[in-house]
Amino acid sequence: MAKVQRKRKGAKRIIDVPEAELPQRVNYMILGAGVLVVIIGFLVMSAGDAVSPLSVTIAPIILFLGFCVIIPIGIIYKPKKITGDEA
Amino acid sequence: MNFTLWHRITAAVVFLISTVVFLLTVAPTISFWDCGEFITAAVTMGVPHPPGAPFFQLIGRMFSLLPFSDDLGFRVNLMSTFSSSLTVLFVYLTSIRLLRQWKGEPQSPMAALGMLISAATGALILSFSDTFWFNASEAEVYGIGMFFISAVVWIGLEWYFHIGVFNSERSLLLIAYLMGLSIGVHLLSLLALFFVFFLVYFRERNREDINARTLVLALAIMAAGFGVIYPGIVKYIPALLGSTGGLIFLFVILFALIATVAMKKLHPQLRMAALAILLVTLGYSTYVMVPIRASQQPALNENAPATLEGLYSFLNRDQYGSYPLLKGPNYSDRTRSVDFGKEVFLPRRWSPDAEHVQNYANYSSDLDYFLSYQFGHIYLRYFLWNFVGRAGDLQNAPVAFIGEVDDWSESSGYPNRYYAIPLILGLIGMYYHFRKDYRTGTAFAVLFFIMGIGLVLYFNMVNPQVRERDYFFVGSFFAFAIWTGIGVYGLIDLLLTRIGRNEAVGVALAVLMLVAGPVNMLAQNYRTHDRHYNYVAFDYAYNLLQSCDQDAILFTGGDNDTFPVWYLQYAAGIRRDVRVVNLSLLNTSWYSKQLKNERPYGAKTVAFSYSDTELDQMRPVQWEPQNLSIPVDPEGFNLGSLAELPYIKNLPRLPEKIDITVQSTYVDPAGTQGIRVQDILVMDILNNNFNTRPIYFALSTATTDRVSLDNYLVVEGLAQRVAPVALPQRGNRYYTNVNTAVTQRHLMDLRSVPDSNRAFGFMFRELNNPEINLDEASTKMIYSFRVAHMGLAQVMLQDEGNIEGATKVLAQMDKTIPAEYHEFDRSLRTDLTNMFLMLGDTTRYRAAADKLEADFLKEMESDPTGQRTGRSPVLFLLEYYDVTEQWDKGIGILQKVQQLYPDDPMVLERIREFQSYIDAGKRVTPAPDTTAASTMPQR
Repeated sequence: MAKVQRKRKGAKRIIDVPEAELPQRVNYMILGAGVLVVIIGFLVMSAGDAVSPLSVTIAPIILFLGFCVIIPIGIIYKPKKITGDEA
Repeated sequence: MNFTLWHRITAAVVFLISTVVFLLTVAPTISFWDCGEFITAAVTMGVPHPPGAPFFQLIGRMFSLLPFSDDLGFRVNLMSTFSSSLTVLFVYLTSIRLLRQWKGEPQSPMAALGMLISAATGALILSFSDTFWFNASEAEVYGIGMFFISAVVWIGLEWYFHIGVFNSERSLLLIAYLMGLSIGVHLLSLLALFFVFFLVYFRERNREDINARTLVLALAIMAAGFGVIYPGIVKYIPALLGSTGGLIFLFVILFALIATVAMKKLHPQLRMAALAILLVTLGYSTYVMVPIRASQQPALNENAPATLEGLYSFLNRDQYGSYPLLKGPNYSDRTRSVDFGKEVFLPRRWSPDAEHVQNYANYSSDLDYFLSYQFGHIYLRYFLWNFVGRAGDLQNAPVAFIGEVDDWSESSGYPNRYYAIPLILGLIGMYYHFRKDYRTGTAFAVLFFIMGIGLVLYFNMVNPQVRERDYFFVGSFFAFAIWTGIGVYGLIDLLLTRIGRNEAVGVALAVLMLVAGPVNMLAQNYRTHDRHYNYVAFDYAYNLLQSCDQDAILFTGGDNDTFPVWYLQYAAGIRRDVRVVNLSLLNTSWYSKQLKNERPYGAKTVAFSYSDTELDQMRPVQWEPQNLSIPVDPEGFNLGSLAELPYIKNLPRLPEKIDITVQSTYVDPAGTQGIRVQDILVMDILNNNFNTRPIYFALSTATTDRVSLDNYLVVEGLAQRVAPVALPQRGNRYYTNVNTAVTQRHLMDLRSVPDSNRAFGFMFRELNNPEINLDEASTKMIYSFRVAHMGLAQVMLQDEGNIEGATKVLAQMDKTIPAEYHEFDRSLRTDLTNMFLMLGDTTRYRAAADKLEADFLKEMESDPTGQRTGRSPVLFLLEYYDVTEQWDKGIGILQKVQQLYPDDPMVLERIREFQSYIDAGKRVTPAPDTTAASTMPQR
């Protein structure tokens, strides 16, 4: 992908990826929790049958929390002490 | 002044306006085409048609749990409504970002107002544009698909300009994750990646660094990056999961990616890229749902992709076959057929289908076909529908600019004209954008072209299409809509640099454009996009199901008579005893096996004489017309509703069998006749279920799909039941066999609340509401609703001599489906007119016939005997002039006929007859037998 383009010698870099820009330990922990919730969601879904609430209601709610809440937070959350550039 | 505050208020207002308009116009339940299927898939967590939409289902399921409205379809529709108004918000935010970036923070209230109104204008143009609005009011994948595209565009731009929370490399990670999720909605959204790729390239490079060499390199990296996701992740992960070797390979890659992310010594960008790939995969993992659910055998389980092979074929859309893109056989102008002996580069006229080949002949070359059909008729026409105007909602409706488009605008509400103002604004905006900032301009142009012309090239569409396809290209219209807002600001800028700094004039101009653009579009499009009275898909499905007796087997033909029925049965719990058999799906073995082995919600299985293995191996076979006997058990036959049919009541005893001559249903290119798997299985289903279960064909099924059973069919409501005895035939469109007792109860005593169990009384909700507006597919159903009434009336009149009853049925039809609100097809209108005459209602006859006279006179010139339409203008007009005592005009008609058939004695006889009436001033002899029946063409 374009974002892995190597720095060319002599060209002034516009992108710098300081360590603070990258996900931190806490992000990986939230992301890990999100992945875990998603796996639990799929396990709950497998535990049910064609019409059981486990498969058609509870599992989708768990999956929704994992995919749409926890994982996105894991990606964009910035721990306070490192957040210097937010106005 | 506080610009940010005003900006936020404007954003909220734009979002609210869209939300309110979409909520006012959203469909109150399912709509036609895929909506019924998608809603069913969301509500029941089933498996829709390949390649599936698991993320759509997940969100749809959440919406279906909301406690608004009893109708689950409505709840899921709200997903499109909500995601569409979020898209509008993102358009506004994107436009403002660009303008602020070029112009800086506005210093005066007037300057701020000009900027805010410009951006709002662009956002609202998209909101009220034809295609986007249509998608916003039904549960299709395109509403939420556009949400993903617009979110990615906005986040990408914020990142590009180093703004606020998104001034972080994490924005790119978020984009990667969103793109992964979007695969679970529709693959089209992935094209937004190219927009982001271009932003990355431009932000990465200095101005002097942007040249042909770096661009080519970047393009190669972009292609590779896209390839990693599609087909890479999307297609190869499921393919590799199947084998041990593949599994090990995937684990190695996964481990390598995680290790890359974890190693702090590695270059940050490399770690980011690895993490991005992981996040795309994580987003894509909603697909795990598909095999899990498929293995649990939910009622809706298309292709039953429970195995990994099944999943791969599901994702690969194997069911739909493939078509050539880069190289393949093509139509030859010389042989007028597709030449399989030779492969050409970029074939455009590739389809060997007879109907397509016939249409290919109308184009002089592949280039002509591409330019005039694929680009012109498909893309450009849709583009102009959105930014210039649309003439009507019948298929192939042209663009409406300012000229006359009468033939297309008969349907209520059209034409919608925007006087090309949005088009002009967009073009100005495109120019202004490139002048201000060619880099982001290029990124938007890439999006605009790739989601427009790029898709035209990729889809390689055949002619004709079953429906309008404008919804595919909404991403392109989205990009253009952003330019319309930029264009308004461009105009202000231009004006102010000419006349000096008078910002109030700029604001006035912006307000003028707001009114001429989106306000006019709202006014023009509101009626044609207001679906909130449209219950047609639901009511049609309800009526079809209730047409059937308990535990019936119901054959249906296509999407629109099947998907809504699935929704009613599986999601709304209505008439789950009826076993629906879709005839085109019957050609696939996963479907026939489900019918044979599974019992969704307790419905009985369909008996087959074939084993599962035999069903798997079934292929079309060669076939000459052949007799088929289906045994009937005279004692035990389940007559049910048929017991009320007089013809059967009067039979002393049912026959032992019924005999049909099954015709072949297809001819292959070599000229061999054959029958399809579906025909073999329809015969088998008849053989094995006929005595125990009622068997119906929806009236919407094609005659050729009914294995030559026509002599045994009796209309009951909107379906035809197979009778155990051959019935007398009349060979007329309506005057066929109708179970009048059953049909009358359905049509005369309507209900407004559905009953889950077998019950009489159809639903035709809101059809007599003057505010109603219907889309094309719904309008087509109105036709079949009318045919049901008219068929009943005709049979009551002719078989039963029940003039009073027939009159009531026709009056009921006009009450239920008033002619003033629903376009009345001319051929139906002619038949109704003739029916009035048979009923002896000359007042109504005259009123109706007066309106038809001009049409038929016009047709006299081109097609006097009705060869083309199957409806003779001569017969109609003679009848009309005779009844209305305008015999001189009748003679005029006869003289024209005489020119065609100079010595026809019948014509001379009629002329003499009419002349004698004129001489006497009235009918002197008893009128000859000119009942309407004889004027109705036989077919």
